[in-house]
Amino acid sequence: MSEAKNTDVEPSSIIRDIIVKEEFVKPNRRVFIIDRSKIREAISRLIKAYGETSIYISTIAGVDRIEQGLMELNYFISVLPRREVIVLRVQIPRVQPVIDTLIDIIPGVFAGESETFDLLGIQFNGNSFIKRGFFVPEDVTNKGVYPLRKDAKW
Amino acid sequence: MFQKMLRIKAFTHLGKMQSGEIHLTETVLEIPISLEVPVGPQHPALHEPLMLKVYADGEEVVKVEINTGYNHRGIEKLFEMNNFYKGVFISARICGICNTVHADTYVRGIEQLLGLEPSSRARYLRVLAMELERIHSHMLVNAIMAEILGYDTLFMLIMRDREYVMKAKEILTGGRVMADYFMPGGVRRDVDDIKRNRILDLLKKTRPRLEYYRKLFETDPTITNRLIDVGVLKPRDITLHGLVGPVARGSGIKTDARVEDRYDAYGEIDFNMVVHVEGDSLARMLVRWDEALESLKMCEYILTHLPEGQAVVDERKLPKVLPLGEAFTRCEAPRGELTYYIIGSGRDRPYRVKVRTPSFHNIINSGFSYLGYSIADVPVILVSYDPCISCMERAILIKDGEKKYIRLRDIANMKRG
Repeated sequence: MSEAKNTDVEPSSIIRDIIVKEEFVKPNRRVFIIDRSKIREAISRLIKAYGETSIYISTIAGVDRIEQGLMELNYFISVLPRREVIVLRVQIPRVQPVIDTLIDIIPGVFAGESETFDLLGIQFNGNSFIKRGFFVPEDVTNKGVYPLRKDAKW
Repeated sequence: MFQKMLRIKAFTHLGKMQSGEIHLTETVLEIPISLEVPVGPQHPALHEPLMLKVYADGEEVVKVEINTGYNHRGIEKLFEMNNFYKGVFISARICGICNTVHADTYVRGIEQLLGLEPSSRARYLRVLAMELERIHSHMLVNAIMAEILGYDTLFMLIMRDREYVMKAKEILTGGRVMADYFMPGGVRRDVDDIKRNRILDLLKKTRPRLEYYRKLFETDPTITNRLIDVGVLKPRDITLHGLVGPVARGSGIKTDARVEDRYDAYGEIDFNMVVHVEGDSLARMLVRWDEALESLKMCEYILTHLPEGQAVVDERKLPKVLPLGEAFTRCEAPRGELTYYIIGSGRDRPYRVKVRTPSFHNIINSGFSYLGYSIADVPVILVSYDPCISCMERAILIKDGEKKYIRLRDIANMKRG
């Protein structure tokens, strides 16, 4: 089962050319801000470098940055052999927030993408499984309200 | 596409004629080949509100749809609308069974933002509360598994012995289930020597029972016949579908947030990560029994090596404002990796709190694993994932008929009124 992958390689060096900016989330977790069109490439490269059984997407956290007019998506990725969690962050415009899906690369994003769409209204291009009413009750979805948005009123 | 029709010729009974002879006529019947079997939201094999739409061809499961949304309480929004100290209690109420891990992960996120460091004694006591919870949670799901298999006596016996651990947790935290033991900077209660000895006595009674049940699960044919080779997950399935906790460790994936992050006092207490490689339902249950025994060892170590110092902090001296910043904390809950992502706002309320619970991945993403097994195996596979629906569904609106939020303050007033 153990793969001959080199786990000493830094995650940042694998996706170095597509990182726009680096930040930190407490406690000492590295955040790589990348362009929204590069998210599929970044995930594919990480899987290829570390192997399929060494990496999983732990959390997808959408944040409504209403003052900047942005939606922020954080992909928390657990790299098991390095015992490290890294964050890929993409920012998308708040009007018509759309990003490419990862469901054909990692089926495990199903829950995260479905929830993010239902609560924040971020569209995932190419994901045919997402639907309203995944968590939100019908009377709210009927009004087209995304409840976790900061300006949600119902 | 799963409602294919089978057309067959048959005789149908049109009722008795007046003369007494039975009138039969030949017709063509259409019979669906696959049947849709709804399991839940209320179902004898499920203890919580979830709906599995199982499509079966004969006895064989050909498709499973997982329907959610029966228990969504709007907790992520509630975090954004309340003071971050109230959040400690909100987080503990996401799930009853694993309330201490929720509170711990939230409190550690808040501590990261505030720059607080709990004392060594407080960190040990936190681990003690969480490990006691792990023991009783693992005993609970193994008891439920016994019940699902039709082994009700074993269910009763495990639940009886689980009370030892519940009592120990009550002595430590004051609550048999809901602990509310955690606070930014420390814990709410300390233990003295009397309490310590009482907990040690209870743990001494628990150990032989755990060892006996573990042996039973490994050797009793009533149990093994139903669990071995049922719901087999390959390591590749685990990581691609993001499954966590005992489910992952039952398939040989070495993942444990306690080892990876070494939060609280886990860096100072010796324990082993339990991994089984078979990947079937039995492996997952045995991971839980082994972990319970491992937790028992940790609890005994903590109680005999408790550092001196102040565990309880003065609430009045804590900061009033949650500073700007972001924290991402993880915790190994009994069901797997639990994560909190907290964004500070520079005011008294957090800007955003994102909770990702283990069942959120383990249940919603695991629909593929039922295929090819028989209908009777569906509850077994589901219970082997340790479903916790209240964990899985949290986030959105809590409102009454007039469509407005109910705040904690209002709930408190309602109680008084």
